[in-house]
Amino acid sequence: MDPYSVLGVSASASDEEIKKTYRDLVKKYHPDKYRDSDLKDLADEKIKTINKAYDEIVRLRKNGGSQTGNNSGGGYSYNAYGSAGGANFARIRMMIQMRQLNEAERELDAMSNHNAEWHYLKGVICMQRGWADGAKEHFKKATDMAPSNAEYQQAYNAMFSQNKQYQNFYGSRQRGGMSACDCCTCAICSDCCCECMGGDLIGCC
Amino acid sequence: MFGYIVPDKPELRIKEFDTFKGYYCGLCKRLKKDYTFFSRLFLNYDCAFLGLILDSTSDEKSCVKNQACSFSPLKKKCVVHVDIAGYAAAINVMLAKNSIRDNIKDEKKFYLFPIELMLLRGYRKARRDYPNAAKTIDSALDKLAGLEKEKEKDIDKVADVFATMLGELVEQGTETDKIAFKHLGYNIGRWIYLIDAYDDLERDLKKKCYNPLLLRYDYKPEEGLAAFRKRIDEEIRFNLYYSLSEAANAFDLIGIKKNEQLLTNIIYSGIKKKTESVLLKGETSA
Repeated sequence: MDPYSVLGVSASASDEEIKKTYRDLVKKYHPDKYRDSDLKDLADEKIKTINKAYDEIVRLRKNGGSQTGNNSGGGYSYNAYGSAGGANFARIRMMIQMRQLNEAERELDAMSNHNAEWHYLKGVICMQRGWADGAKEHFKKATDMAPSNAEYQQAYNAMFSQNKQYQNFYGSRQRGGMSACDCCTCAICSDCCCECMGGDLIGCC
Repeated sequence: MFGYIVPDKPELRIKEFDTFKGYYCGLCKRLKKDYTFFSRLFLNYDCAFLGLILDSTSDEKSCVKNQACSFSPLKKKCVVHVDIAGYAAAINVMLAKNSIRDNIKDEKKFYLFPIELMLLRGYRKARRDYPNAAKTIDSALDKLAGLEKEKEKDIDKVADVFATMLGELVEQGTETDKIAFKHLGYNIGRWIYLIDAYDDLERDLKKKCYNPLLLRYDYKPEEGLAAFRKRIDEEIRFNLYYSLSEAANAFDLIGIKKNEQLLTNIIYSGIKKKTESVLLKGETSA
């Protein structure tokens, strides 16, 4: 299958455009959104197809169209705590999970190779401590170094969406009402849901 | 330094606003009773909030009385008396005394000496009443002084000291509440430290005092304060709101038994609006 059509971009699209589309798609189908949903398998399937297509495009462009060369492997890492990066990183991830933040940080500081994963883990430690400034900076560096890694991107974006969520919370809870926008979104979503199940809510679309 | 935690008044119901004022008056009365008349002059909203939130998990029935006081001798006001107000009062006195000390030391406001002396008796008593809290505050302020001397530019690190202090001061109640309270206190503390630093930019610049934001975002004299504020607006906003959102997440996990509407208003709206007003004030005054 044509990898460009999977992502929904034209073959002449720039690298930047493709990267952006890829990111948006990953966000759209991100497993975190469907964590406890019946749709999880479906979303996982989507992600796999998109990753494959993206890797294919990256490879094609890198090799000027030839089919040799190995996979760039920049795709979405499937298991949040199992991505590549050596035994050290795996151990540090374990430490972070067990909330041994000081030990984890010491291990990281002892390393000399500051790659994307290093910055990402530094960011996670900062975030767990509530150190938003450091977390943002490290996540930013991680995403700049590995733009196609959805785990890093997601961590970066999550901080912003958490802020947004807080800022929007009170108005919605207090008044209990809906803005014009909410009404439309609700109607469109309901329509989509109905259509998924074979029915229809808004006849014209 | 204080007075940032206030409710969003227009969104409150009248009875909720009365409750807030009641806790505020209750703290004031308690200050007078425990720590001399003079300490009341340093009453602040943040400590009223401290009393309010710590009381929210207790089963104690609050005692509400209509009372007059020397600041409002004719009109009786509704005053809420709770046990925890004693703790809030002690913290209030200790923090006020330390903030005066700072002003004398950093800004050479020597005319504050007599005020410090007048507060001393209450301060000593507060330390005796709550030695652990006194220790927490002392060690945090020592650490802060150290970092200021070293001109620390990592705002996470500096704010962490104040945040940890506040976290420890509010860590109370059942096991689960303790965790939530500590997280709440930490993030509110981080927010207070940062918003205070932002609020003080102009003053610190004029008096050449330490301000972590000036160092962190590399202030250049030729740039001017207004441009600097504009440049860091997005960054500082992000930091402030992140701490608030974390605080709100923690707040949602506390087993609140009283005044939930009022507290929700403060956490989700009052301090949000305060953030905006401080940021806006900075932009218009500069």
